Amino acid sequence: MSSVTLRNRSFRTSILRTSSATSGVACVVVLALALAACSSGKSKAQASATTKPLVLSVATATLKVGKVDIESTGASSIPIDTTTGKTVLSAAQKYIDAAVFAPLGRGQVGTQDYSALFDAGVKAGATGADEGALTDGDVGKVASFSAKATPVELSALEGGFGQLVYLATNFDLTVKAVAPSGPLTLTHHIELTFAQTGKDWLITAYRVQSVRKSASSTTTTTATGGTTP
Amino acid sequence: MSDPAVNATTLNESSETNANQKVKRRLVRRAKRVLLAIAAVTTAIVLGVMGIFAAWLAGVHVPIASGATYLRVEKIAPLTAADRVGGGPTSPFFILLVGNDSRPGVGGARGDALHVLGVNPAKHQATMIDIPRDTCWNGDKINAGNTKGPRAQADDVGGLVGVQISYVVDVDFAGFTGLVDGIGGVGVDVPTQMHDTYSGAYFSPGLQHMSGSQALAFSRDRHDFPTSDIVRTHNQGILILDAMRQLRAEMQNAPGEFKLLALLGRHAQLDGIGIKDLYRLGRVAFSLNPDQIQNITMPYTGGGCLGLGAGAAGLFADFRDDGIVESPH
Repeated sequence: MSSVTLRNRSFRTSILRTSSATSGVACVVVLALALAACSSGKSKAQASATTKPLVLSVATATLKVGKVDIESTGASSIPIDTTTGKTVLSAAQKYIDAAVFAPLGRGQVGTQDYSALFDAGVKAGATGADEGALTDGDVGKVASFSAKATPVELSALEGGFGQLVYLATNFDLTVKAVAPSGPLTLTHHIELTFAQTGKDWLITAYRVQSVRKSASSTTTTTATGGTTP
Repeated sequence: MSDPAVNATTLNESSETNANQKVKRRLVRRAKRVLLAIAAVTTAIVLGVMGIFAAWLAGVHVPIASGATYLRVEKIAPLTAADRVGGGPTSPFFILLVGNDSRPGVGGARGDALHVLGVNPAKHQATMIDIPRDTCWNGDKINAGNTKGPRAQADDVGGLVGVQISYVVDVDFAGFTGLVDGIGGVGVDVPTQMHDTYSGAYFSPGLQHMSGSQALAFSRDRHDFPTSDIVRTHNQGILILDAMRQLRAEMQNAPGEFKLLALLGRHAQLDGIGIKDLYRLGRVAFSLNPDQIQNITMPYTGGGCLGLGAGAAGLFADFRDDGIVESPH
């Protein structure tokens, strides 16, 4: 068995054009996405902590920002600040690392990282009834996989004074894997809505639709959760 | 021996230098005071804006809106911790939808459209009961309650049906028109031919895309029907469910949700409810399938001031236990 190869995530910089559906006013947001600063360190930690090769090859996906849509309850909207944009994108990355890549690579959901992403209102559902649909924990460890993600669409709701109330990430993640039973294609449509809790931006609502296709079967799961009043 | 002229000049220069320094010091002191004042005012404004925003998020009524007020949403009865499991309510709750008749030249804001939506989050089901405005309650018509405010109207309707209303959504003529126009109009499945000069409702049966003023005319038309307000009340229910159906289709993703929330945030007066509550309420309301929401007009008897008809008591009892009506009606 050959050694594990974990692809380091590279720094990416995106120049984003922001459009407001209601005002039609376009504004430009520049998010310097220093994801590697946190996530590549994690990759190294994972690699060094691994004493035995677990899989033949792993190619994870690194998220980058695409379209940005800002809705405001005020007269006009202001661009999303870079720090918050990076924080939320990093949280979305942590979600796919823990919910998709960890089970496929190590055979189990990155439990601590995964549950820490959700706020109190949705944590019970996300780690309970919806976990099967929100993660690939039931797929289990595969021999190899590679993943591709579409650019992340950011949607924001701002208060009347320009403060961010909600920030949602919307993207598709496609994983091609080789399992002991044969090839698998996993397609996830992932929408995570974040709200600020203290200093953290945590998932307060989610819509995740997953199609898991093997040579013999296709299953579709949907999980919709949100903190209710 | 010193030269007195030189001394005088030196003294004068020294004196001028001192005077200049004093002026400079005075200017510096004044500049400091001005800067301090500016900093204090700026801090006060920033703190004030932050305070208002925090209050707005928390649901305290803030009489500031960036647009015209279309509707008012008031939280009447907060859900208790006992109702919540995993952050969400499992108990049924009830929302009163009120269309009041306030318009230029007509004051009072009587509740001419009264609809109680029972929501059962655990079963993902709901039922809407339409209350005719002429229903008798405490010696008066029930719609008079709204002239004392949405809370009084909620008490009256809640008392009639036997449920505790949690939220009231109150809209007047202009607000209704603005709201419907704000969502780009609404598609309504018109049940019968309408030709009413009083309301301005001229519609053929079938699906019609209505502007705000057309939707208002549709929901006001009673002269086309022998039972007048009874059919009108039911038609209002049809419009509400058709609007929910349309909004639900647009709220299947975060951008759609945020667009509607932004519209409501700009045009809704929120009392006891914050924008986050509105978001959560919307998530619950639009998780319901309008095709499965029953639109039931309260059974009535008599004319003028209406009494409860046969089956009304049973209907209310079925409704109040879990927010939905399961029995045949």
